[in-house]
Formats: sequence, C-alpha cells, structure tokens
Amino acid sequence: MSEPAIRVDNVAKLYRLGRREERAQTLVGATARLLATPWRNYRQLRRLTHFEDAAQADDILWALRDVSFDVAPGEVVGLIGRNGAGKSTLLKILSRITPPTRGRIVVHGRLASLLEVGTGFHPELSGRDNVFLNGAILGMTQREIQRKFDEIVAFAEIENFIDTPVKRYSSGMYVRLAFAVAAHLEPEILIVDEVLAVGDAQFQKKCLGKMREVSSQGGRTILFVSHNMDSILRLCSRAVLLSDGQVHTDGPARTAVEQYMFLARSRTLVVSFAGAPRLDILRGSARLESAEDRSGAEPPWSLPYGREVRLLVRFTLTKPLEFWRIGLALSGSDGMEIATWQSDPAASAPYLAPGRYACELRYPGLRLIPDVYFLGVGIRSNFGMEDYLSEAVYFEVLSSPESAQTGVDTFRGRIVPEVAVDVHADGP
Amino acid sequence: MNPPLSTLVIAPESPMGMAGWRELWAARDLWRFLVWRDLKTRYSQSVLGLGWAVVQPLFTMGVFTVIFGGLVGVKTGSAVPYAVFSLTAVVVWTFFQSIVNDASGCLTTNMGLVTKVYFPRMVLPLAAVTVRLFDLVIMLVLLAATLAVARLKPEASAVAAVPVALLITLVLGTGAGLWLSALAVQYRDVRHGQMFLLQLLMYASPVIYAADRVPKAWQRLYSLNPLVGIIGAMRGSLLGMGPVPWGLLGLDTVLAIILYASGAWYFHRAMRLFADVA
Repeated sequence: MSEPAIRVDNVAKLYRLGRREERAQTLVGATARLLATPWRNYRQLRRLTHFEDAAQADDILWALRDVSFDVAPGEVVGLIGRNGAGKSTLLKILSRITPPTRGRIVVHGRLASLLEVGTGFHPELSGRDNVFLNGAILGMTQREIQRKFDEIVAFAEIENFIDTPVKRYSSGMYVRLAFAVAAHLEPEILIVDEVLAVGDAQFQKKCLGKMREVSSQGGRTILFVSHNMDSILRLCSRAVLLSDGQVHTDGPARTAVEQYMFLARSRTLVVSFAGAPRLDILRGSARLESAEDRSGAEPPWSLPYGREVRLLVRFTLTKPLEFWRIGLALSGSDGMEIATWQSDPAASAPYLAPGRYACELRYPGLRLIPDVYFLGVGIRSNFGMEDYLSEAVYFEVLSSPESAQTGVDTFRGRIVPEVAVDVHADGP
Repeated sequence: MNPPLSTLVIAPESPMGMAGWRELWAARDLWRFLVWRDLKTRYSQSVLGLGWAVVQPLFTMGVFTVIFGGLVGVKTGSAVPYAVFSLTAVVVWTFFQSIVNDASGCLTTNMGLVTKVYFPRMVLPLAAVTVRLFDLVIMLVLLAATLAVARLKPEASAVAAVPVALLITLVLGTGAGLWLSALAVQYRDVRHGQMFLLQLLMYASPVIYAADRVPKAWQRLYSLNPLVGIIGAMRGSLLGMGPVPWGLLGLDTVLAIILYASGAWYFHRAMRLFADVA
C-alpha cells in the first residue's frame, strides 16, 4: 500500500490562557507598568507563547493531546466531536495556520483547506471579481480560475448577477457562489470544516453530491468535519471522534457517530444555549436561552421508556414578533430526522412583545424506542428564521421492564405508535 | 503514471508562513489580486477616483504653506517658493507614512484571511506597499506639474538621485511596517504609539523647514534620520537646493536594508503566533 495521504503522529497543542485582569487596558497604563516592572510584563507576555514550564503551570489548556491517526489516499474520513473537543484546532494545524506544540503531521499531496466559505470576499466587488479573489486566496492560479470560471458560475446558478457587487446578494446567493469556488479546487487532499451548515436543503444536496463526485472520481482524499451526523454517515466510511482533545474513537462512521451521541447526552436539568454557535443567517430577534427537562426523569434527560418527553424552552425577544412559530425537530442516533413539527401561528398569540418567555412543549403519546435522540429547536417569524439550534438537547430513552418484556428493546424502528386493531371472524 | 506527490511535514518547528522566495513567487497571483482589490475598492466608488491620491499631499502642502510659510514665516533659504519646497518633502513623507501605516495594519485588516487560509504571510505587507506605489506615481506627476508651473528645472543628478531616494524610502518604510505589523498583532498598544511616533518623526525631518536650520552641533545626530538624506537628495536634485548628499544616502541605504532585513526576520518569527495570540 502506498503512503497514507495524511499521517497525524502524536500531535498535541497547548494554549496558555491569558489573564485578563493583568493585561493593560490603555497605552498610558501599559507604559506606566512597563516602566515600573518591565521584566515582569515581558515575562508575562512571553508566557502566552512559550511553554518551557508547561507541565507545572495551571493556566494551560491542552486543546489536543496524543492525537494520532492516518488517512489513506482516496478515503473520506469524518472528524466529529462536541464543540471544544479540538476539531477546529486540529484543522488549523493541518491548514498551517497554527503550529502544533508537539508531534508531527506528514501530508502526501497538495492540501487545500476549506475552513470557511467566502474567505476574502469583499462586499464592494462584483461576483466575478470575488471569484478571482477568493480563488487566488484558496490557492488557485489566475489561469486555473479563468479556465473554470463558467463552470463555477453555472454551479452557483447566478449567471445574471455575476457582475453586481456582492453586497447586493441574498445570503443564499452569497453562499452558493462562495461554495462554488471552493468546490472547484483540485487538490489531492481536501479538508472541509462545517461549511455545509449554511444554504438551503437543495443546495446542500448539490454540494454533498459535488463532494462525493470529487471523492470517488478523482480518488481525492477528504477529511470532513461536521456536526451534521446525517452527512457524516452519508459521505464517510470512517470517522474519528475527538473528545477533550483526544481521540476517543477511530473506526466505522456508524460506530463513531453512536459514541458521539452517547457522549453528547445532556446532563444538567437546564441546558443553557448561551455559548452555542449560531449560524450567520439567523435574524436574531429571538434568542433561545435554555431548555429544561420537565419529564421528571432522574438523572435529567434520561427518560425511561414510555415517559413523556416534556421540556420547557426559554427564549427572549429583543424585537416584537408577528406570526411567530416555534419548531421542534426530533432526530435519532443515526442523525436522521424522525419527527418535524412547528406551531400554528393562529393557535397561540400571534403577536409577542419583546421580553422573556417560557414555552412548554411535549410529545403526548409518543413512545420512543430506547436509544439516544436529539432535538433541534427553532423560532421563526414571517421574516425568516430568528434563532435555531440544530442540536439543542440530547436525551436518552432507557429501557424499562415494560420495553424489555414486550420486546420493544429489540425493535428496529424509532417509535412505537398506537395502532388500533380489531379482529373478528371473517366469513363462514 | 502519476507524478510523485509533494510531501509536506508539519511540526512544531515548521515555518508558519513562508518557506522561501519560491513560495512567494508562486503566490504572485494572490499578491496581484490583493493589490487590485485594494485599488478597486478604494477608488471605484469615489467621484475623484484615483485623483484622491493627490488630495492629501496637495492639502498638506497648502496648509503648510499658509501656516509655516506664511504665518510662522519659515524661510526656505533660497529662491524656491515655499509651496514647492514643502511639496517635494510632503510627497516623500506621505509615501513613507502611508507605507508604514498600511503595512503595519495589514495583518489586523486581513485577520479574516490570516486565521482561515494558509498563504505566505509576507504577501500581505508587500501587497499593501505595492498599492501605495500607484499613489506615489500620481504624486510624482503632481510634483512634476508643480515644478513646471514654478518654472523650476531639475538638475541632471535627479535622474539618479530621485529613484535612489524613493527606493530607500520604500525599503525603509516596508521594514518599519514589518516590525510594527508583527508587534501590533501581539501587543495592542502598538498602533497608538505608532501614530504619535510618526508625528514626531515628521517634525524631526526637514519637511516643514530646511535641514540647514538645525544648529551645527546637532547636525550629525540629526542626519542619522534617513529622511534627512532622502529629502535632501530630492530637494537638491529637483530644486537645486544644494548638492545631493550621496554619502548620507549611502548610510541611509545601509540603515534601510538593516531595518528591512531585521523586520522580515522578526515578521517570520512572529507569524507562528498570529492565529493564537491575535
């Protein structure tokens, strides 16, 4: 077998957390302190980037530790993990944006990184100009871009707008163009980070298709980072799960995804959404604050089979909302969305003034088969999606004596519905 | 049979932003696009377009002429009118100041690129400086027009002296910009101190006044400022105000090269920290 396309060998990355109160706020303050204790200041600033005494210090953070894995040429490998697990750090190291503290990585072939769509896009320039600019930033030569220009524009479906300034584009057009440029990169190895989280479902499918085409035809190696378990399972044969900076699982995608779900279980009664990453395209007049488990399960979010899923979602409105809807998306451990629902604007108060709200939601009569599930929550108004979290809470349905005895534990479906049955003798 | 694939090793000691001149040359398309982006966005939507490049020096010259030439009564020490006298230096100073400011801020301005994509980082300050070369050309046209209006004929030495002086300014400014950009990304107060220091430097240079006004005792120290030699050369060759100080220019060349080389060295060293500290 030939050399692995990527070999990650015992990579570690350490950050020293800066002490906020000790950093000077004003120039005057800084100069005064510098004059007073220049040596101390210099040492402190130097500590931020030098780690000789790393082992003893208590203000260090190991973003990655002992990470090792190989990616064979032509393989499509997923990289998954909760926020803060170290995925972005590993990508940054692979993309040569930041150096590893320890270990090394050997890459065979040209590597292109897609950490963001539309890097370098300038709002005043036209779509055409931005294609060239963005392409050059991503590493394409002018000739290469010229050669693929028509293809790129056709893929993005914006032929009519290619010469208007990008600031006039809708968010959808912007994303399509940005992704179209990126999709036409021709490296041997491609690293893609969460960039598919934006765009409408139709376009996402097209992008996934293009990526797959890229992988199977060209024999391209892809390292794919995503929070969308569905796309991970569809695209990747293998996945590496990072947890707390270390490799937790390295194996078939299905196994890694299951482990991810298991690790992701919400554990506190109230799950706060304060730090959760949000998509840019959200309008933001509403802000989801938290979800509280009202099912009475102990520990929280671990429901015995048959217990009603019941939660209290708190949200804040910064502007009044008209014709608002709240929506829930229930998905299973394979990332597939099982049950989608949104409220009827006519049923509850159609107009809400700014303020704090609590909304109790429950699924009466829904019996989920023991497994891990997650809920996505969103609030939309007639203007669009105000706030949305695709993986707001993870909860588990545990087997109970009932589910064990009735054989539900072994069922392959996701829900156990109420089925009305009526048997009677038929004919003579 | 496929050509052998390139091998890349990423390790703690890897250079984090430039592996050599070859890589920089390979990134020339990016360099060109960054320059073109800055030019296009700066001037495309303005009424005067590239004409804005002359507004700053003209305006500065105007203010200096009225205040220093007129009100305060600074003498040029020759037959040359104050307006032309100051414009010659203002062109140099504007060029220098704009290179230093643009180069020193290029990393912060392009932080979005630096944290998301790999490319030889040096392209950023070099592109920033290249943009200002366009401005310089326009300012030189303005200067030539002013000389024509004042009926002043440049000396023969101008053919050599002017390009040399401007080249030294370019290297000097880029070097200073490299130092400042690398420092600015690590220490937040650099940007503020820089504005203030540039102001001081302008007054320490013969922009508003002639260099020979400085007392004899201080002349040697004063001449260590590279801009003294540069502006002296410009005024000497274009306005006939004294001989071109070739010896001083030689010293200035050495100083500029040292500043540039050390700036480039420090820039490379600091690049490893950018994504982490900034």
